[in-house]
Amino acid sequence: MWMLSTKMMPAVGALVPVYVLAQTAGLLDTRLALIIVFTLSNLPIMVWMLYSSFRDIPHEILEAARMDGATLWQEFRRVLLPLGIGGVFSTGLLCLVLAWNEAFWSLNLTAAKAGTLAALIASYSSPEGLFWAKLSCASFMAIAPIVVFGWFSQRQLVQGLTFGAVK
Amino acid sequence: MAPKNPVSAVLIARTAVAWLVTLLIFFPLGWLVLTAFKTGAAGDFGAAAAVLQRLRWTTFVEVQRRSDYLLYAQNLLITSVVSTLARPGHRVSGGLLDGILRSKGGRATC
Repeated sequence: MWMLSTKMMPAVGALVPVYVLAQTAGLLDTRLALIIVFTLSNLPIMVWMLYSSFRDIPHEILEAARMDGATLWQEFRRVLLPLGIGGVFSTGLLCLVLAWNEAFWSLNLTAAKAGTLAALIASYSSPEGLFWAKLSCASFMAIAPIVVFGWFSQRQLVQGLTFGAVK
Repeated sequence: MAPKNPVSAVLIARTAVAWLVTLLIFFPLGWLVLTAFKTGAAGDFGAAAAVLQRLRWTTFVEVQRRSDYLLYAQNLLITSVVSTLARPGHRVSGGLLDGILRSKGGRATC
């Protein structure tokens, strides 16, 4: 619950510290800054989903592996990972979609050099007015890849969100 | 004789509401797609007139010419994929640490 509670805070609340940190580290308008922020911002969801998926693995299997003399690493590599790979894959898909759709941090931490598609869309909302056709066109090009990706992986996404729902 | 599966008024009302909600949800997306295939003037005018006009790719060419779409797409692809791959790394290392602590009788991390 503590992990999830970090997602309750509005992102704008952490904007100034994150911006100052990125500025001090010389990471403004770099891909690395976005990678770090995307990784940390969606980490609670990933922890929650992976925890649910790994919890579904029967404890007896792990006990059996220990009885056979498996070390901690072997237990993880040969038992836990093969059984939980579906959960890892589903979680990865969801986090990829969330990172793709992230706009707040992209707009505030990047400019021309490391700008994502959110920055491209926002550039069509200028003080001279909104260019609806171009704005829609840029938005369409931004959402098209992830909509197609989501369409083909919807089963895995739903599966990932319902881990641990039924015991 | 009454039909086997009578279509009740409640069912019709529910279906209508469901369709209405669906249209409300998908209207912005449909409007976006239609406007994207319009020229500047038609797009500015609004969706209603834009529907009747022939769909064109000109705006896509203009957008690509003004700002390099592929550069932005590349940035987004790299950041989202790398951040997604980095997360299991964090989690796996955390899980291993957790396991080691548990096996040594220490306190679990989460």
